[in-house]
Amino acid sequence: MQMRLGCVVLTSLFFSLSASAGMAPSVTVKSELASPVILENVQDKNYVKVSLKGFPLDTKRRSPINLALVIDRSSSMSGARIEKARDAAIMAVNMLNSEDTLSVVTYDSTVEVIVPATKVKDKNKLIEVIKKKVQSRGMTALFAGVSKGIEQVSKHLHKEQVNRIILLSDGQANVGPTSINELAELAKIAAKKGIAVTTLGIGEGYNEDLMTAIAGYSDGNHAFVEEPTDLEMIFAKEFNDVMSVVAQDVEVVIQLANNVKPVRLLGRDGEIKGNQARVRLNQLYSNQEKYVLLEVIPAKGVRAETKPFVEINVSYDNLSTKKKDTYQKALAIRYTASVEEVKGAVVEEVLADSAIQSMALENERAVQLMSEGKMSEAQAVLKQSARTLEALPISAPTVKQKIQENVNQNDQLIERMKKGDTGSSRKMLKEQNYNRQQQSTRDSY
Amino acid sequence: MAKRKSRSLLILVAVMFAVIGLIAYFGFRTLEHEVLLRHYQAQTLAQTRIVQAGTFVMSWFEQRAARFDAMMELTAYDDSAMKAIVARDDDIDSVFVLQKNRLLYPDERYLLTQKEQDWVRLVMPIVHDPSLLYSHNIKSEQQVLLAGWFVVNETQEPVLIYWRNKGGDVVGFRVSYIKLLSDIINAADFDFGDDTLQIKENGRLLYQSKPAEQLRQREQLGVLHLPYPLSTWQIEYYSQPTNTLVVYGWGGLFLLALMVIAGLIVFRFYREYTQTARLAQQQVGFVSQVSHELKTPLTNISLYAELLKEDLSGGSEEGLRYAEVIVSESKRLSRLIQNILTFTRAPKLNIQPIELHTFIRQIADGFMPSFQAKKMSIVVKMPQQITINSDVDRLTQIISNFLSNAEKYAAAGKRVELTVERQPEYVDIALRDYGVGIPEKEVKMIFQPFYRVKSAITEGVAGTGIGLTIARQLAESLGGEILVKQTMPGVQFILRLKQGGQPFVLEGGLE
Repeated sequence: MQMRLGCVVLTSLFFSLSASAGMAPSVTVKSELASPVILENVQDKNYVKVSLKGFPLDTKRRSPINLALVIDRSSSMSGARIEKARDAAIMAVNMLNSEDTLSVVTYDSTVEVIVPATKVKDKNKLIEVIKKKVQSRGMTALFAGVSKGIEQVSKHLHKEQVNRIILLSDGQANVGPTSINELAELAKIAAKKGIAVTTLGIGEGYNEDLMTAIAGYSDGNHAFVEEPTDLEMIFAKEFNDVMSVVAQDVEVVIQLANNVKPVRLLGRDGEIKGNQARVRLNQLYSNQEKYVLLEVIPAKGVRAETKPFVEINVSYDNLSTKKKDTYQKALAIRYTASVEEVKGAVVEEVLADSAIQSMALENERAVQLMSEGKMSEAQAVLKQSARTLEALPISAPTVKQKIQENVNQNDQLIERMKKGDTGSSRKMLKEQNYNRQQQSTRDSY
Repeated sequence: MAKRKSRSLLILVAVMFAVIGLIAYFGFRTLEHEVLLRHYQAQTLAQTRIVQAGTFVMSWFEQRAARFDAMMELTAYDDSAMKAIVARDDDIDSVFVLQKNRLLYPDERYLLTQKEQDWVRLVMPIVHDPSLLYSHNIKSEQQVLLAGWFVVNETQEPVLIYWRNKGGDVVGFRVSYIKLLSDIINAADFDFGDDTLQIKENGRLLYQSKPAEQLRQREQLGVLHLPYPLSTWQIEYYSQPTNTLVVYGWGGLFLLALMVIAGLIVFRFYREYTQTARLAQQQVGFVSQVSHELKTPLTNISLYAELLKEDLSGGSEEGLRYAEVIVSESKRLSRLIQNILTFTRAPKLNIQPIELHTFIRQIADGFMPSFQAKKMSIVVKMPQQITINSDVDRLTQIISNFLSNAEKYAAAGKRVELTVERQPEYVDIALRDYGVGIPEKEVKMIFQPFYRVKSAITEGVAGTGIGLTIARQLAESLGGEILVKQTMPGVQFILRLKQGGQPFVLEGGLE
């Protein structure tokens, strides 16, 4: 969860719903092409970007939260980890109010619901239970833990509230279903119900592939908690996110014009059927931008011709108005013979984002190499992808900064790997890549 | 004496062993039975609970089947309805509709998403051969199944399908296997106290009724393999091993206590008995000692009385009578003492030929004075010549006791008959009186030591009550017996001397 500053300047391309809907707050949706003007008779890759930005939220008017804390209390958690996890759970109790619903599930060899889903009214009692029950022992029945978390949140499932599970674990799942596939399926079940699972991996023993998969398929957050002492800070950030959810059940449908071919969705998972791409996002946070990026191959055209290119439909549940908002926008593409004109029209930010996603794909390859123990190869891949990104011709300073941040992350990782810190490097890389692919950028916390 | 003591000790030990042995045997059998019973009960309980858990798991399928049946009944099998089901329903992951060997949904003629394409690939075998759906469940050729569960376990994640045949069209709902796992984990809630129930899928633990219970020291009491479509599932039940040690330990302790108590009781009885016997022994010893001491002065009295009687013969009538009384009384006393001594310590057996004619006469003569004093007569009837092998002293004592009894208790009959009869097998020496006799029920008692018939005739008559006892003991020591015959009036005591190993009757014949 790296902080990213200075993101996105409003341009004329902004289509703001807040303007049309008066004072009612709504999500800011922006649709752009990387190259709105292209050369005639050439079919170079192009990118469609739909970015969604949550409106600022009055903290007093936040949506109720339906939260399940799923805490690993296997014996490996003993010591500082379980203590910090306990503190984090207590912090959660203190940050919630009587409108919110909380359940606490702990698991070791088997699962136990220590606080069944309940409104947060008697905080002292809840804290007492947490202090007593969050003690380490046994093995790691992660599947059962998440299952129970889903069950608890499902008891009070409402569209107008933020439904969330926070999973805290430091280990590998080793009881019951343990494969990434199975846990990913479970995350999909959660997602279908509109529940996001945030996974916080503590220390260097957890299975980062598993934890990112759970977060990814349910559209939750993922963080690598290197030191137990960091947990409180990360937990606070997570809470900040949870409390700032402004829209849920977001669907982005990108309908391409005939002869425009979709290649792939970058980062985020979605469905491509014919020349339609459909992406679901569980939620949007206030003051945070998330985007969908589709790689396409445009149709051929002749000079000075303008063709309809793409139609974008977005719908979401606005938690502020408790209504379903929709957005529609069509983009066209223009053909030219002038290379200069093409270059001038390039939207640098979209180009940069697509480059960052390509870098994320390369970095995944590095992760793979790391798990095979090929450290020097992995370093080479990381280095190469950073250099490629760096070489991108960008002039806008904000975009340049964004690129530089990503380059720096890779460079720092390489340094870390050189020190022999391979376990945490892989986890850190996985975390960074996860955030890259979730395509979330923040103004600030 | 020592012999008797060791014998009673042997009996004591035997009884003790018998009692303790019985307690140990039956006690152990009871304990064994108890352990078996406990084990059986635990196993029955385990079976019941396993079946309960199995029913719980299978009810998931029943509930879904009922719901899906209703949905399939109500829904039209068109594209949009099917899409809506997949999108909306938590349980349903994918749907197919099959008509003969043609897939109606998902329709491959249209563009499909990656997920739909994967699904089509999965159901292809069913499309080609719909009988796959029920082939696992065919029990008879005629049976036509119209709905059911179907599972493919070969894939990485098992494919679980509920299908239904509606007018030739087969609709199938794929249920997420992960959803099943998750639902079972979430809904399973058993509390079996100290016992633990596990639900396992492919050897993986899904649910354990008692969290954090270590099963290493537990005994598996039962396993249930679930039926199709959950053939890879099993339910296991664990319990504390039936603690035989506790049952045997405490039971054994209890038995031991019981045995000790029984032993103590037996020992106590033995102590009581030996103490009484010792006391009696002491008393008998004392009496015997005293009697022995009395014997010497009495011999002198008898001797000098005889001398006095001889001196007085032909002298004073009065003085002679007095001397005779002294002689007769001292003889009586001597017999009494002899009886006591015989009773307490058996003298040596001294077998010799006895000519009965003279012998009986001598005894009868001895009693004559005291009989005459009571105006009684003794009639002797016997063959002339008869000699037997026996002990003179003992024979004398037996016959004396008969006569002495008759004198004491049958004086009213005025006469007694002393007869000797010889049979080929035995010789009877009998004394019959004409007194009041002995009631039938008391005949057996009179041979017991110190027993005296209670009646008017024994009233005021001195007696030790050991005369007949000694007579019988002596008769037995001579290889004979004493018979009592009611003769009305009176009673006849018969000493029957049987023929022993040696020549018994030396001469003489039948009367």
